[in-house]
Amino acid sequence: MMKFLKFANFLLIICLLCNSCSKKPLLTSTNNCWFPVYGCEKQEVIKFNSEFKFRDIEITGITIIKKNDNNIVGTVMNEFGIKAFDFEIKNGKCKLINVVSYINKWYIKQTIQKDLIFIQSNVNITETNHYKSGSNDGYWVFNKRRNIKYHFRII
Amino acid sequence: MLNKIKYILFLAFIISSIDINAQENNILDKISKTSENTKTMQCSFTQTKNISILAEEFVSKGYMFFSAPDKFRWEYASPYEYIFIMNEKDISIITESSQNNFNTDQNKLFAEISKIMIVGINGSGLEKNESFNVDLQSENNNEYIFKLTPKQKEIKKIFSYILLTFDNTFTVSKIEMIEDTGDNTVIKFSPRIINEPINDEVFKIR
Repeated sequence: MMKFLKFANFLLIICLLCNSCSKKPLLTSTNNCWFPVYGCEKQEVIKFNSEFKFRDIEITGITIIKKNDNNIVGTVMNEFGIKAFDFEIKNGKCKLINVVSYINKWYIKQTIQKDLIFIQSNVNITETNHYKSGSNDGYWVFNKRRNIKYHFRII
Repeated sequence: MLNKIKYILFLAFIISSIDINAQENNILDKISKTSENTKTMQCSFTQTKNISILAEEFVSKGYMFFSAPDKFRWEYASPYEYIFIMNEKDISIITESSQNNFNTDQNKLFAEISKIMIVGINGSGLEKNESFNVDLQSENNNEYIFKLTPKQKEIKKIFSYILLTFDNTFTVSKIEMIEDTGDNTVIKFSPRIINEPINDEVFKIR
């Protein structure tokens, strides 16, 4: 009997470990998306003071997003109006357009594209890589794998 | 007969080119003299960014202070706070959450940007400019528009060209920066206050 209980306990532990390693995304608060892009009205333009932190590099800028009938378009630029890139999100895919040469590398664009899809989604956590956090100070978005932090504050 | 006509047309072309060059040099000379006599300048500005992908405009406003030859403060007041200070070779960028200081000796890109800003503010160095090809684009209603096309690769990546509009006082009234993506940024200056004292604290980098 004791051997059976120990074996059952062992199986239970294995199952729990498998569940935590599962690639199935954890969804929290799918009905309550706090990030304004998802909930905004069509044709509404939302402007953010933005901050991007990667390791010890910190870049500030302005992000402007507009929700159309079948897509979301946006632009990221610095305070002087010099553009970093435009983007379009449609059918769950993100495309970067007019990317400034300094970041026009496939690995950088790929990361930004995935992060933008997550940012505008109504999901707060995906796997173990991304999560969002909101407060009166604005919205934080984290890419844990790449150690990138985004901060957006509506202006 | 045909050869005579061709010769006359060729001469007319050469003469008109010389005339345009003389006219351009005359205006550049006046701009240069004005900028030499400008010790300080301060004004407010309105910056309008036309974003083609959004079909929208984004407007920001702020203040500019300049003290010849190389002290400069560009401050955005709305809808965000952002300050760019140049004090000789030192540059400071102050945002709502951070401050970063640079030195133009160690950062070539910032050194070029600083030069562009000084040219953009008072037109100094427009003649025989090392960073841009300068051409008189148009002249009408006491306004002179110069087109500045960047020579340097790093600046070409940012702007296709810049248009500087000088009014009848031969000071800059408008700057237009055109990107090859179709976006453009227009900065208009309010009536400028020239040669009034500016407190040095304005340019202090902490």
